[in-house]
Amino acid sequence: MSLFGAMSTAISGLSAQSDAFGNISDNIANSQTVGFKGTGTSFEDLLTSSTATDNQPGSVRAIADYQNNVQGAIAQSSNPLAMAISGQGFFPVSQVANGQIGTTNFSPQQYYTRAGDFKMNNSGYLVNSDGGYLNGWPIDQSTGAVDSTKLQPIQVTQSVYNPVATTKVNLAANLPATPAANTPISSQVSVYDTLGTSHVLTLNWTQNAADSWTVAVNSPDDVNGAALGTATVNFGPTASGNPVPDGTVGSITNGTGTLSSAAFTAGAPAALNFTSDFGSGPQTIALDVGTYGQASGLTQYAGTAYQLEGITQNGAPQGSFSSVSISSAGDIQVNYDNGQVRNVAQVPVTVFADPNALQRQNGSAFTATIASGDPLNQPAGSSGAGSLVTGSLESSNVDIATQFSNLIVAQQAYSANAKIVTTADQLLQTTLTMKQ
Amino acid sequence: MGINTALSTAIGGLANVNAGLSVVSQNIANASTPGYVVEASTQQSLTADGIGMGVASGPAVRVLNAQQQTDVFNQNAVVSGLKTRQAALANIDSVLGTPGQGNDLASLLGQVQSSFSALLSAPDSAAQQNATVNAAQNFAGQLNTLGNAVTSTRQQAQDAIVAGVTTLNTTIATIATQTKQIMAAKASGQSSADLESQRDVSLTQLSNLIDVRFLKQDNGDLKAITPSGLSINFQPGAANFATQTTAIGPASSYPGGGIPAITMNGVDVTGQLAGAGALGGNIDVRDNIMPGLQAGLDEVAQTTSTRFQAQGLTLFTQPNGTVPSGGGVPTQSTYLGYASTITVNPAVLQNPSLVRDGTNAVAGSPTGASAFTPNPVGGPTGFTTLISRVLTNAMGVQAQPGIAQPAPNNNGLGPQGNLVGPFSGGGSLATMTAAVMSGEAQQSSAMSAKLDTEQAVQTTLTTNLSQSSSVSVDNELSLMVQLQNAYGANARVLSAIQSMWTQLLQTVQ
Repeated sequence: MSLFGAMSTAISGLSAQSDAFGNISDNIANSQTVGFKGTGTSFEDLLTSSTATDNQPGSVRAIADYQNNVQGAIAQSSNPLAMAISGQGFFPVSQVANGQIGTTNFSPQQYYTRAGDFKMNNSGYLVNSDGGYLNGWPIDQSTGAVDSTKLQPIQVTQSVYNPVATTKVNLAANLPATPAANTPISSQVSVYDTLGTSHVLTLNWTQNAADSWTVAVNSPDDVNGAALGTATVNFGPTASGNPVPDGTVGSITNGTGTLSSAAFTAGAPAALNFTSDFGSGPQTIALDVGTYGQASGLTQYAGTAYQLEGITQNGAPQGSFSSVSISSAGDIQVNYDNGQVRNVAQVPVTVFADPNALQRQNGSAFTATIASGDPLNQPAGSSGAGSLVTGSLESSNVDIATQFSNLIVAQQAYSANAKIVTTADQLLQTTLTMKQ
Repeated sequence: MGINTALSTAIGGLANVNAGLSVVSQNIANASTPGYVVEASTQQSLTADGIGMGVASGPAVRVLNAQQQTDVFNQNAVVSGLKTRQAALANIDSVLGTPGQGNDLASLLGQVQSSFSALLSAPDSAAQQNATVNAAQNFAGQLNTLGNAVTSTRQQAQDAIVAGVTTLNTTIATIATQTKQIMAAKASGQSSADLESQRDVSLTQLSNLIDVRFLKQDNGDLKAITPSGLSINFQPGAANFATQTTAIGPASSYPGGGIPAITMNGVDVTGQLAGAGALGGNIDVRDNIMPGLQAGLDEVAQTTSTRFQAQGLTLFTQPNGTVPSGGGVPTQSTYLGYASTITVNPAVLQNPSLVRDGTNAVAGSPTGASAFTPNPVGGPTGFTTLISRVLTNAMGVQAQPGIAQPAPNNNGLGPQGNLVGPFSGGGSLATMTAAVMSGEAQQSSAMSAKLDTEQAVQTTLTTNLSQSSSVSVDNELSLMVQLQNAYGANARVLSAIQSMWTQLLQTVQ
């Protein structure tokens, strides 16, 4: 009995070692596959009978030892859309439904991968070399909020960037305390209407008395006439009656036309609101002249000439698609040629309680199993999720030197098992020759 | 992860050296390119899960002291503005003549005086009468030359403004295109260093034209403001300057005097462009400097004409034989550009003996000239009353004994009535002429001196900037040696890995 038992034990050893051999060859074959995770082999003995006095030979079986949580080397890539995860986690990807290659009918099955060699395809999807469509959280364009309840394939549309109407103009300048006679003081700034057309706004400043100025806002393109109104801006405590240091904005009063302003509050933003109409409806613009009582924005200090330090506005003309880039936070950014950037989606990193229990799929992909735990989508770099390295790729985590040493061991173990079989055979022959 | 990581790290090292070397070669190749700013390669170490993963090369960046560059841009505007003004004044200097050479206004006036003195001793000499008329003609001719030079200089300034506005628009359009490329390069993580150096050349052009401050944004976008209140967006159509060509006459002025405004998107911004920069310089030449000289010349022409007329000899007139009336509002409105048209009275030209006899009777006034009756036709040929009046009164400081000549207008001059002349108080015609000439000469030499100073500052600033930002071939070569060594070291790691591989493969039989 034991002789046959020993033989079958040796056979199980042969089978286990050939399994290990298979894993090693799979690992070496994929040693250059992006995002590939190697499989090691561990062995388990199987028992038939073992008592205090008697032990029957059992057998051995090979168990795959997945190394899905072992980091691969990260190398720089020339592909700007390439990403690698440094740390734990996977990119959520979708694949097109069976037999529907070339369409955008996605299989409901969610896949996960570490292969981050994404490229934009002709439909604007980010697809890796294994056909995985990168998923992300959509970002609401009006509020900028990330909807982390929805995970869907990211599609970048190469649309134009809608123009942004100006709502705010920031002015930083010094009005001269003693202006030169006959020198008009004015600032021009281009603002944009809702159609992205540029219009000039002119701010004309006239000194009424010491520390008191009148600003007239004009726009030649306004449909209701060029003059939008005037207001009085008082500097310092004497002219404004408010406790502010000399030379800083103390009050904005006497708004005429469409001009209005909030009353003085120490430390509150000093702004003038006015409404213009460039033909597409009223457009309210706030002229921000700094903060009440602080030497920021508009001031009135010594001098005879107006000194403009900066005048900016928050509108933008329409822009056309220029490029797509990925930030290290995982934001998919669409860049437009008007300098505007739009975040269209955020790529989460999916983590599992036991990533080694994931079900392997073709194309370095994985699917969730009961043993792996539920997928948990996290922003990159937070709550245990790895961070993103953009413009880089994660190589296979297989180390060939280790595989070779395993190979040597497997080879020797296989030979040893084979030796048991041949020895058992000889013993059986001996047994058989006992009876002639 | 062993040997594979070592391999990819070494390859990353080689790639980084390659990137560094390409920056070095770009620097050396552009060592003498104008406006090129030396570039430096950037790199950072890569880690994953706390393990070193080699090096990542970043985009090349420029080594530039932004403050120095801003100073140079500002100084460019100051110098080009002064250069424009100085060139315009040099234009006038060239026709002003040289004192003592007999070709300047003061000497020509002196010749008029000496010819009258000569006539005093020979009042009946027709030759001397002709010589006097000739001297007067020469004086009027020089006034014409100066007046025309002033007007043509203003015309040149106006033409330069029109050309400058065109250059302004094309430069802004160029910068807009370059900015767009830079933003695209930055957005996709590429190096924008070379594009930025190209853009700086355009920015230098712009800074020569107008006094402008550039605000560079992180995303590569650029905004520009002028201290006088303009803001220029480098977006297509965001800043469109315009003006028209026009023929400038002595009476042309801005605003409202026939000279078109410079507009930005339809809004008059002429006032904001005046000041530093070539465009501002030309506006100053056209609207202030040259009209100021014109006002002085017109005042000399008008005062000379009226003082002669007041003594009974209408020697200088307009081509139609009349002296312009004064008393307009603004003061010079009735005789703007008179210096360009003043001539010797056609009646005197026809009959030179009138310089002895007089052309008109003078009623006499207790505050002005005394009474005078011209020598009638057939009167005594030795008539010297008029000649004496001309020598002592018209060309002197008193209209009649004890009554000073009225002072020339010195304020409220020019087409807009906003200019101030070079005169101080009353005085003789010679004093006035000298005041006009020395006023121009002082203005011109002061401008040249200021230009020299500012140019010296510009040279210093430009040298500082180029010292800190231009390519130092020595540095680049030493960097190259370092890179070569680094390449060798990385390659050495590669060859070590190669021999390890060989050994490893030999172990598995």
